[in-house]
Amino acid sequence: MKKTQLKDALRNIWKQKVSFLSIIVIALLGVTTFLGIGYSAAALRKNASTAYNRQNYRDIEVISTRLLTSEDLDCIRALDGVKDVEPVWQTAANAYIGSEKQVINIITATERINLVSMIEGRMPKDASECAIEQSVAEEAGWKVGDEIEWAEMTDVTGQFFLGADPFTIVGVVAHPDHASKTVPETPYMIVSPDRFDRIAMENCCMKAEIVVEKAADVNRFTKAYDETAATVLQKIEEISAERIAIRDAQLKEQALQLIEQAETALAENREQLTTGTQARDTLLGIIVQAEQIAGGIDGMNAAVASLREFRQKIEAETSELNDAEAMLAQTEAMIKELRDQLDNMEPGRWFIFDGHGNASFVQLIIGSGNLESLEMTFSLLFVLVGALVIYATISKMIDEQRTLVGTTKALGFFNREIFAKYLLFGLSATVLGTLFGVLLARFVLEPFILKGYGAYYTYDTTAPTVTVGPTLIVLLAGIVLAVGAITFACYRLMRTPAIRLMQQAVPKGKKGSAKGGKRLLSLYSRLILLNIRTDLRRVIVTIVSAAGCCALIVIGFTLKAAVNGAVKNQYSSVVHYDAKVQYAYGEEIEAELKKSGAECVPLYDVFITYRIKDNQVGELLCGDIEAIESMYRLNDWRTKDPIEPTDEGILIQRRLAEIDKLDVGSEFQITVGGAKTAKVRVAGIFENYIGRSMVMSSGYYASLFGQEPTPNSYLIRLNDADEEALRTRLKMTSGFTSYTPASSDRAMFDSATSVVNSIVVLFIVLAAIMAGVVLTNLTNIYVMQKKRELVVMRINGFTVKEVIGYCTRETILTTIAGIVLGIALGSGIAYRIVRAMEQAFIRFDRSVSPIAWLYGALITVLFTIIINVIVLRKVKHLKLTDAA
Amino acid sequence: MAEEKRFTKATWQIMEQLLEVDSLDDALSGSLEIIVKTLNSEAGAIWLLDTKTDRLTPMFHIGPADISNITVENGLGIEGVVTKTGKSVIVEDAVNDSRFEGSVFDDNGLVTKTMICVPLNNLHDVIGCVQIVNKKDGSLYDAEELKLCERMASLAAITIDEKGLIVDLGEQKEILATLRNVTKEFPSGDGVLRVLKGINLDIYKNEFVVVLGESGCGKSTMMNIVGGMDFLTDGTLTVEGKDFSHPSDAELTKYRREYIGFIFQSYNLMPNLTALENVQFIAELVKDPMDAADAIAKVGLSERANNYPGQMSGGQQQRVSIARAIVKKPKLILADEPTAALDYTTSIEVLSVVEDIVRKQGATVMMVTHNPEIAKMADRVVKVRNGKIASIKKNLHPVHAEELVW
Repeated sequence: MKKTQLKDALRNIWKQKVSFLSIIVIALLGVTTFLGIGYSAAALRKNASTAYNRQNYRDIEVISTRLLTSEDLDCIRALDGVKDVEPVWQTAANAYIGSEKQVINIITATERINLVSMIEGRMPKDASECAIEQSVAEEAGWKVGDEIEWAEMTDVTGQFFLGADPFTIVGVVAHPDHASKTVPETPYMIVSPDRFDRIAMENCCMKAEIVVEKAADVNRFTKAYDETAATVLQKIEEISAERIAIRDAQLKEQALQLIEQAETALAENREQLTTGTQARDTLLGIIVQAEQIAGGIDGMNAAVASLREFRQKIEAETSELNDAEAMLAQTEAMIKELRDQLDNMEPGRWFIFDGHGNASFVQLIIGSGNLESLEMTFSLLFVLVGALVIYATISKMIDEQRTLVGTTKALGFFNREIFAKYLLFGLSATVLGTLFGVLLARFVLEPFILKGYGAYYTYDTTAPTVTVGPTLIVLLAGIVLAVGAITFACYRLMRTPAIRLMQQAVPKGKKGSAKGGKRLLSLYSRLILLNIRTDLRRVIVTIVSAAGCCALIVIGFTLKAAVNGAVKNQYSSVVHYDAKVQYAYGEEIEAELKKSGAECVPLYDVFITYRIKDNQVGELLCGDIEAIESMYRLNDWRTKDPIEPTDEGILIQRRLAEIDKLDVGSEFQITVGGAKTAKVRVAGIFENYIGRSMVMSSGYYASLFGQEPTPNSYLIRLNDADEEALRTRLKMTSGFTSYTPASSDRAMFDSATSVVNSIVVLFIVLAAIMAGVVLTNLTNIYVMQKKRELVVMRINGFTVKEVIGYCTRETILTTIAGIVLGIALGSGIAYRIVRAMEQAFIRFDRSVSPIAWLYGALITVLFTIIINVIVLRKVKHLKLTDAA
Repeated sequence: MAEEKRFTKATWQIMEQLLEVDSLDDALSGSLEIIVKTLNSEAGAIWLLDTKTDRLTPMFHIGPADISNITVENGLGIEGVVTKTGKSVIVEDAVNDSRFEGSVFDDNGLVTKTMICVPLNNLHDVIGCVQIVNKKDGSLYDAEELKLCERMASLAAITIDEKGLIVDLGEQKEILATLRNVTKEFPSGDGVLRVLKGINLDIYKNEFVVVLGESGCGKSTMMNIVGGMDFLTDGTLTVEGKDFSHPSDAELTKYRREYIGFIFQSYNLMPNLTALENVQFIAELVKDPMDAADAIAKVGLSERANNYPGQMSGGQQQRVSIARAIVKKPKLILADEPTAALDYTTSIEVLSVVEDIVRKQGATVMMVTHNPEIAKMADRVVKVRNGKIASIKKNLHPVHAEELVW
């Protein structure tokens, strides 16, 4: 571009600054939201990765069904690529302070791997101390200095946990296993390794945490990381079979020894055992020992159960056996049975997890992925509106400068030289807008989003980041888009000869249509339609801008309705119970409930893990399906009818079916109580909005695990009972564990609700900016362009009101069209966002929201009115002398 | 009988023209127009003899052929023979007349079918001849018509003698641009609208041509074609020997850039640029432009050089636009009604500048106007009517811009 041409181009920008600014703003909005969201997603992963590295979070975790020996650990340590290995002891328990119970996992403190972040206090120094996770501190209100009175073991590994001594809480921590606060997981209570009887365990441990060499060098959410971990994981897989074989043989040998001892004891004491008081204790000792042998070995559940039953029977005898001979024979049979079972013992198994074996880690991937899908949706909206704004602005300007362009053309400028001026205009505005957008994304939106997301994670999410790749792509895309829109806007002009440009533009349309024929519309209306036709491009852009504005509002309110609708649906059409009561033994509880007039349905309610692609945590409800349905609707998601009770499979939630593409007949694996694993078949899919419940009949459970589940909960409907009074009475009833109101699940929606509320505000602001800048610009263009026409109208005696009426009639048409388009566009985009925001345990109401349509229309109309009132004030001040 | 009356009436009209019109140029051209019209002819010319060079030149001619630059040696060709011998010639049927060897019209786009050529007989010598070519109805000239011509010629000769006329051909002018049989059609409704119906015109270097014509006659279309702003439908346009009849769009742009300067009726200055910058804007386009400040100085606007168009009067803006036109030293400057939007005084200012650039800078200017007064400034006046050149007149004594009155 020549010097003076550049001067002209720059001064043109200065003169058209409102248009220039509107391109900048639309580019800025688009880039800010797009990159702001993108950066946030990247920052979430980066910050998470950094936090994981700081805590030296394990890359791989190995859990064995037969415990891990120190030799196992040595073998893993010796593998290429393994940097460090550390053993962890763990068991499940219920911890009590008074009658307050917390379901926890007791886990030993580590020295090198999986270091916790200290939030308050210090780590336990000896067996009398423990640290709790932040979530326990928050939910139960337990704090440093409190004493946990006792811990009730709920897992077979509990046998290695030493004793009933109370713990003093000395610290509150964040454990890297539970980085995501929204994932419902059993919290840890961290104790000194001394609390586990490592001698009894022969130095075996429950878990091995492994750090892989070089893994810390890369972001944990990258493919490179996955590959690094996968190499080592592969090696561990390879040695696992051999290690398990050794371990199984070792266990078997030990078990056989014990069985032999028992047999010897039985044989030696046979004479004495038939009579005397000692018999009971001796037999009991043998049975307990046998139970322990069986309990230590996975897959011997049936044996354990029958042994337990037998033990209870012996225990029930007072001091002497009634029928000692029979008992003795039964014991012998059982020992023999045990020996048989040992021969057919299922081989042990190592569960080897990489990062994806951790629910929080997966949640982070999903969370940042959700943000990215929002990002894509936004880009769609802004690409559309942005391109149109650039196109409209440039073509408007070119139309205004038609004669000027014709002149320069006549004077011998090449098309490219003329094009350069408009390219400079549009491109510089786009690039400026993009650059400001990058800054705004990095320094305003990203910190804002990260702060919002900070509530979901235990680590500090607030360190912002900039991703170079997407930034460059956005810059490039902005340039391509702008060049495209400008070329499109200039195309016709470039093709038109100079003289044609220097002449007055003629309105488009059929020649001669002005005369004759029957007229359906008045001249006035026809004039307005004709104006629209002549100026179609500006009109289209006005419509699209109004649509964009309306769409943003519709999106905002649809999201709000989606969240609120889900809550409403869940509690009106799914949940028909008022509370859930958990208990250790239920007879007295049931009596108490009946007495108060509340209805109740007993069921077995347990957290399970299920494995489809990754290991996930869910909740299993077992019982009489028909009874459960009276409290907790299980309606088929397709037919909306109640699902027929069945013993042929498990019922799953619609959300789970969607995420993992399951349907009736699909199969997956569940693990109950950490040990019992079975393959289940999907028998039905029910409509639900919250949680990750699965339901099966006790019969199906028995067919899977060989034994019906023992109920541990009631779903209760209060009817006329006074809730507070009932609660107080239940607390005093023996066997009572907890009382949870059904509405407590609502908390899961709280985070979504607050996010959605800020989105609604954000979108209304965006819509206001868009309307403020783009629509104002367009209306302004309209008035400027029609100035002469309007002046002539005024001169000829039209009142200001009539002239304004003439101007607004078009606005009314464009606004209506914009609203219709905006509602369609907004509903479509809102649906996509709703789907993207849904998580594994939350489904939103996906239906369209007429209320959102109403708000969208009303607010758009309001904006339009404000803008028109401001811009059309000019009509009042038109100088009638300007007509000359 | 009717014909006789018509001829008598024509003779009266010719006498009126010759006796009552002040300007001899106008008197002669008016007379020729009357006779061409009365005899329903396609073309006509008044040839005058330059005694210094002993050559004849067509001072004034009517019809579609541009013979402005043609001179004929006294004694050669029909015009020469008539002038030399002082005897009239009538070629009744050129096609079948063995004496006829073609005329200058034949070389310039008009086929001679029938012709009358009568001498302009002064009291002492023959000073030229009057020539009438082709009847529009296709019939041939007869003796009666010859008589009318002779009568007109003698009246003209007396007038010339009385008023005195010195014919000075000067140097023969070099042709800059040539239009031959140029037609232009625009699609209109179902058919086509023929705006130009075969234009023949030469433009000479360092010449000031004024094109006159009524609205819609095709003068602007003609100028657009010469200016490379529009494509011709048929015919040829050559500039300095290069054919620009059917150029590509890019070639046309290049042509405008390198050959043409424009002065528009509505100035069309860049509103964002100052006067000087508007000139620089164009100067930067070409390889060897004039200094922009010089160009501004030449139109007398040095003091307003840094003003924006919005801060200047119409006349000043138009002068900037002239500076813009001359700055790239174009071969041809085209001016489309440059004074139409201006009042008298400012018009004269602007026209003085135009005169200046032609007379002093050696520029070639072709100006379209509907103001016949401006035509007096021109070297040649081309009248366009109904898509054709109606007449071309050479001004023997162009007046200065300041002398114009309207």
